[in-house]
Amino acid sequence: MSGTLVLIALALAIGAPLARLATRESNGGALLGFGLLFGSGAIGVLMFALSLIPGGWSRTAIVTAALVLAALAWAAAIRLAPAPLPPLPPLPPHARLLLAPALLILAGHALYATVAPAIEVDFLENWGLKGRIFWSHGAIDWEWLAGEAMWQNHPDYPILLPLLFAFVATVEGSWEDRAIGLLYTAWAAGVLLVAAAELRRSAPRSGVVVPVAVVSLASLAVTPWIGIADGLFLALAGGAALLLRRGTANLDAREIAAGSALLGLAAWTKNEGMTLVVAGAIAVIATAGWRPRLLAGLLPGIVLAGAWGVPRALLGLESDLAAGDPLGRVLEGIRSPGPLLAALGTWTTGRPLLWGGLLLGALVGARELLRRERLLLVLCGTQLAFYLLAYLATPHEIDWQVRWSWERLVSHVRFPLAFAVVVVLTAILVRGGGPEREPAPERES
Amino acid sequence: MTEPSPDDRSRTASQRGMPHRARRLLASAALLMITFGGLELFYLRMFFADRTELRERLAGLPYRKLPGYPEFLAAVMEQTREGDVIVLLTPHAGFEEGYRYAHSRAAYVLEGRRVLAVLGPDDRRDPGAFDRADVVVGWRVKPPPGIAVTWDGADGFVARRER
Repeated sequence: MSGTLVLIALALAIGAPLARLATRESNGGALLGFGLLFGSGAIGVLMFALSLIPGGWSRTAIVTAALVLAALAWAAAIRLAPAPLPPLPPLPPHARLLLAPALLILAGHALYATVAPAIEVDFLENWGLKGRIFWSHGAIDWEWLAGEAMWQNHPDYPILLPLLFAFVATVEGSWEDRAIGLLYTAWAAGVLLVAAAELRRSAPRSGVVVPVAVVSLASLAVTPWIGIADGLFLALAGGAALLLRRGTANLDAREIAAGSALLGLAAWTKNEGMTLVVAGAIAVIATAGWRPRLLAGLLPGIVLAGAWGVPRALLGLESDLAAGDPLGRVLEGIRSPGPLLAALGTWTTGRPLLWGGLLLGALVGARELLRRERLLLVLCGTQLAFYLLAYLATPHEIDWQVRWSWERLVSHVRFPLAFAVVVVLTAILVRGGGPEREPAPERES
Repeated sequence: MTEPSPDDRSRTASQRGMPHRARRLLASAALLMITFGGLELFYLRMFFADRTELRERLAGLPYRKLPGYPEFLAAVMEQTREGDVIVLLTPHAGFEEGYRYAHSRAAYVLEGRRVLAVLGPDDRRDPGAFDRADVVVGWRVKPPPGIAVTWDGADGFVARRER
């Protein structure tokens, strides 16, 4: 357990000042939330860099390097942090009590996530196996990735999560496949804290509505798939989406750059992050128009995504989606979409009450949703379209592919989509749907 | 007279389209549907679950198709050394008919060892795996002729190759 707790503590120590620097965030909860996301990514990238140095993965080396990074981040935040966002008024005590169900869901998730070693097939065959082999090797084992792993373990999958598992094992001194479950609760809590701050900012004196809205999102932030990459991906994608939303609303290149960095970290977590970087760019342009200064904010995500592409290309770590003639399969799938539609009809994501509520909320607040939440709608819609294209491109049987991935893929966009609807519903309940805030003048950040 | 702002116009339109009170009622209903529709009661039940029983049940799940396999892997771990390259034999005829299942679990559990596969995804056998291995292990199969078995258990064997 100690390795997991050290990872969470160091992620916060590195990430909170980075979040303060990158997002102008002033709310304590949101700083913790963003801190966990930025900090987890920073530790993964640090492990990647230390892997290039012989002996770089000793316990002393990785903890010292993380502490140095935290000190540098704090020093930069103290000297260079921009003017913070206005502070939020404190929640009244009765409204705080209403947050209890969200805390219970997170606590229950932590109990579930740590009850047993991770058992997901993809943990044993891929994410956990890579982490364990890297840790045994004392560095990223490129030879294994490009060799034996090639035929079974999706060597092309990004390695941020295995690097974090290796960090935990290195600090712990032994392989840890049970306590790592706590990371999934921490990441869920992180994105929920960020969403809670955004909801409060949208309706600062909302009384009980915002706490109920936070509770409505709590179950959507946690993931049942412990040991695989979707939990971290969901949190990074959710945090990125909310930052891009704020950045386009405020026309703030700094916030867009911070959101883009989280998109880039998502690309280090799952291949779907590559398309998320593109979806993020499309959403920013669709929302804020063609503004070169804002578009420059998208660079961190592109650079990070490209950085993983370099070793992947050098070692020829190819995706199974690329096998044979993927374009031909997509064109054929578009001509004959029957198998995909049948599979989507068979393997639904369930939860009709949730989707019914989202649909009803979207209809009630259609006008506000289209006007104010365009970024989230375009981002999620584009990403879903990429997922459908990937199904058409797959060389595997579509029914099998949909059965074992659709629910997980939908969970990636479900959180930001639900946030878009919930924030509009909050506005309707608090202000009758009036404007969230005065539009800000374009900043020179 | 001043021109109404876009927000004023939309608010007017919204109110014209749907009475304010009805809109709030529907918004409340939608928020409650999202809250309860997304609620995962399983996590709340964890407060009352028998964690020991649940842990044992979950920990056995990845091996349920190969009874006795965890014990076999524990014996292999004991009989081999860190850095050993191991080739795994099982009675499965096809890669997706059980060999992948057995190999992936062995590769994960046998920490510090490399577990080579003799069967690939296309069901093609890789005889070269024997040449690269220090140790041959077999689960519920007989040892191939010509190798000296160093451990023989109820469910399998371990044979270290002389190099």
